[in-house]
Amino acid sequence: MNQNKNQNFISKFSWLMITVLTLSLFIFSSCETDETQEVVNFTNLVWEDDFNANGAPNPGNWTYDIGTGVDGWGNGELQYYTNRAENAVIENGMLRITARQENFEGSQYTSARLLTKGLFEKRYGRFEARMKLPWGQGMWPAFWLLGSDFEEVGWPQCGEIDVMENRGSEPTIISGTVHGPGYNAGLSISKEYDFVNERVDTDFHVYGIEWGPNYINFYVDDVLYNQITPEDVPGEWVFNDEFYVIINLAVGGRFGGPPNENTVFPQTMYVDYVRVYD
Amino acid sequence: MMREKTYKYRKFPAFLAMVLLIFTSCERDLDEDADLATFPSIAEVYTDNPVNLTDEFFISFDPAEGANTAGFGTDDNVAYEGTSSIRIDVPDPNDPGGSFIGGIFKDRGAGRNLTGFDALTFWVKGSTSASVEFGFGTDFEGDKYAVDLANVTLSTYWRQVIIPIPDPAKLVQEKGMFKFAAGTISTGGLAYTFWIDEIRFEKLGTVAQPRPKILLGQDQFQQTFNGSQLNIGGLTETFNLGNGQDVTVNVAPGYFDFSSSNTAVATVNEFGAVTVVGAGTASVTATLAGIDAEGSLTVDSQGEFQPAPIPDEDPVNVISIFSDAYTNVPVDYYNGFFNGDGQTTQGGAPPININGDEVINYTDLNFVGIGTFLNVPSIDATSMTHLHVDINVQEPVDPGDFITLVLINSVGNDETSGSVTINSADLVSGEWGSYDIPLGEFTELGSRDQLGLLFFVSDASISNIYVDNIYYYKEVIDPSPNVDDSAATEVALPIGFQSTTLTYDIIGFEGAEDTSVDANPDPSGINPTSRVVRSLKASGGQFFAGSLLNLDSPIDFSASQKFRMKVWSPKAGIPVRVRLEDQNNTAGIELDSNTTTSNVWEEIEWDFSGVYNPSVDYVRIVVFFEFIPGLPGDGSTYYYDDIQIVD
Repeated sequence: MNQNKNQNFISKFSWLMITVLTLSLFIFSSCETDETQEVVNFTNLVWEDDFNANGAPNPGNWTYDIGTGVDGWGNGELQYYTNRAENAVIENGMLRITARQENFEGSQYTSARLLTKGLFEKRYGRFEARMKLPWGQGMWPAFWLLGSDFEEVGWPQCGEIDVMENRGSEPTIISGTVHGPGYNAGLSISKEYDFVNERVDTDFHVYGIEWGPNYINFYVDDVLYNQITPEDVPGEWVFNDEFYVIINLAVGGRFGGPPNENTVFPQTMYVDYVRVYD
Repeated sequence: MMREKTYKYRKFPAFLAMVLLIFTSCERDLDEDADLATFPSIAEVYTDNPVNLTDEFFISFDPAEGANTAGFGTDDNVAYEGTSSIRIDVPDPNDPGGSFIGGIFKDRGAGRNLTGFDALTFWVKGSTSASVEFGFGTDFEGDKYAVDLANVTLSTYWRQVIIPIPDPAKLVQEKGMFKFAAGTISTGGLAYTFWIDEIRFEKLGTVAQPRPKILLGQDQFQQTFNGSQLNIGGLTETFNLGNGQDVTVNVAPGYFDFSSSNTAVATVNEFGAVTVVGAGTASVTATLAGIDAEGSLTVDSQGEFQPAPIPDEDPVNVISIFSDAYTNVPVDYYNGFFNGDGQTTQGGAPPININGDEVINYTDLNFVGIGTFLNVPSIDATSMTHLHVDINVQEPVDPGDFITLVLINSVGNDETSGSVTINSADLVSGEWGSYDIPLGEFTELGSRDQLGLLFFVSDASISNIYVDNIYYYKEVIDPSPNVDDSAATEVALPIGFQSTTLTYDIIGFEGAEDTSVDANPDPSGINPTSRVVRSLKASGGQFFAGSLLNLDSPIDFSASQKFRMKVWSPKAGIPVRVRLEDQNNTAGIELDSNTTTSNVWEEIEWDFSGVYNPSVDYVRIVVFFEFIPGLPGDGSTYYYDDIQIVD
């Protein structure tokens, strides 16, 4: 979720189409020939948080980023992240991450960013979350993975997999993206998915990836809409080691721009569950 | 969005087919969009032809009110899709066929079930970027479920318009399929053309985040009385569309469910009409499809309302601005909301109705104007003698409180103004005070032939008043008997100029030097006596040319201050100023009173009760005919007679 990576989307579109088309044919064959193996690979639940205990998120599963980072977490984001119940709390079986308009520690907005860093880190698997997103210009909810070696090798060498990002100004569109060396920020490899007749803020949807050796499949609900493999990235494939999970709701930033006078606050991102399968 | 997607699929048919196959076999379906691309035929209103409508599907707004019916048609050369579109030629304001265009597409059958849809959609483009209103639900049969989207800005390329349905469950039998209304205000009077195509109801699935409002989302408070009728307006609902844009539509009350927190105080009907039925407080709120609407009306009823006294002036002598007793002249407004000038006053827009009695309640009063100069004729009150107003102050009256009435003539065009102040001693709290103010007391006003504004000014000394019965009237004076002073021993009121032994010390000045006692030119009507004062206001004389009469004894104002003269003027509706002075002209009072007729004797009154000083000896009477600042004399000859104080 670092930097604006949407700029090259259009130019990549046709190219992606062809790639997806080709790969889809490949998958088609795989499914036909080895369908059982594919399914078994990612149905063994190895980690989950169903957010069923009201109150603060389980400290055994989640830690927090606090504050504003450097340059608004590298993206010019406007919120101050806290671990207060006002910004992150479990109620009625849902994790609620709430962005508020309030003066707090020099920022105009508060919100929360939860990580499994140091608590749950894993290579490969099916990572999915069932979520209902906020809405309105300036909302930037995300469900993503960051390479566990981030602090040793830095970004983008550590690798980043954005399972789901959304601009609150585009309530039918999400995108899935990977960042790595030579393909990050504006050059990241990304694809949008448009629900067209549904929205992200009125219904829960499952956002996930199937991640294995040398491939990452992106899906929404039951729809697989993209696959990225080493052939798709113009640089080193950095997705064969452990990553941790991040869920956050940013306000403003270079992905979708700041809130405007029509943005309604507070805004809440509802997470029903996060599940990881082997 | 739908259409772009359709094109995309057409462009990549192979891709579509293969993805479908792939994901079916992987136990994942293609997203369900493909299944949603079909609509019942009843969804369509106009494609290349009206769909499921008769040939007479268009019903124009009333041509008698200026709607132009000639500009409606179809265009086989322009279409967003298919071969034809609806073409609207919007007339210019001076078009003899009508200055605006609009109407509805009506289902002439039993109506349609629209419960399966969430929006009306269509495509529109214009020859220029004008602002047009669209909607549906207007059926000319009560418009119960009307929804309007105002101020849609046209572009010169095709653009889709989406009008959400606030609560589709209500539309089980709807006949109002489409509505448009267009004029040239947004183009500065330039005619233009726009085209509409592919009008249909759709289930978009992306119309979301409904935010209904009543009273435009404001929490309003109204102090009132039993019997008061109030209307909940400002009904809107804002949605967020699939493109992320907010859209706000005006919504008919039929979509809302109104409720009162205390029906012993206020009831509300399905149209949002509130009736106050008992003393106390009640809050009226609403929901739309189960969602609480922002905004509320809290009424605080003080119980039974005491209506203002019923006026008893003969209607033929009245020009009424606001009274149930008379036919009122049209006004621009009862509250001009001059907020840019610091006005805080609320109320009067519109007046409120208490038991069928229209009354104005001004709150947060500092000043407020009633306008008659923008789009309605200004008021010619030259033949009127008084301004009447009833005021009921809804708070304690403290010393220093006041309400000043200001009249402005010829607004914005060499305007003149005059004012009269009602002091705290004359204001009453919790009751009606009736005020009959001689127009002559608005001394700086000059002419009153084009009255355009009446202000109530309190400078916040009084903040809450009820106002009723605002009207000008002509006081009909019963003529006094003729004064026979032939045996008088000094020049003192009453004076009839009949004495042949006394010297009437009359001095004309500044163009009225030719003033003296003379023979009555018209010994008839109310004044058959032989001798009167003749005064020539010479052509080119000063507007303040006049004559003075020195008295031998001061005027006795002890019993009454109503000063009367009989006057003969060749002109009706001109001000006659009377000034009363002490011996050395160190104290003087003056009032205007207008003639109401011409070339006949009439009696006019100047009521000095509001301005006289009992400790001053007024020994000089100065009379100015046609006292209009800047207007020189024109050679008219005036006469006056029978000067007296009447009780």
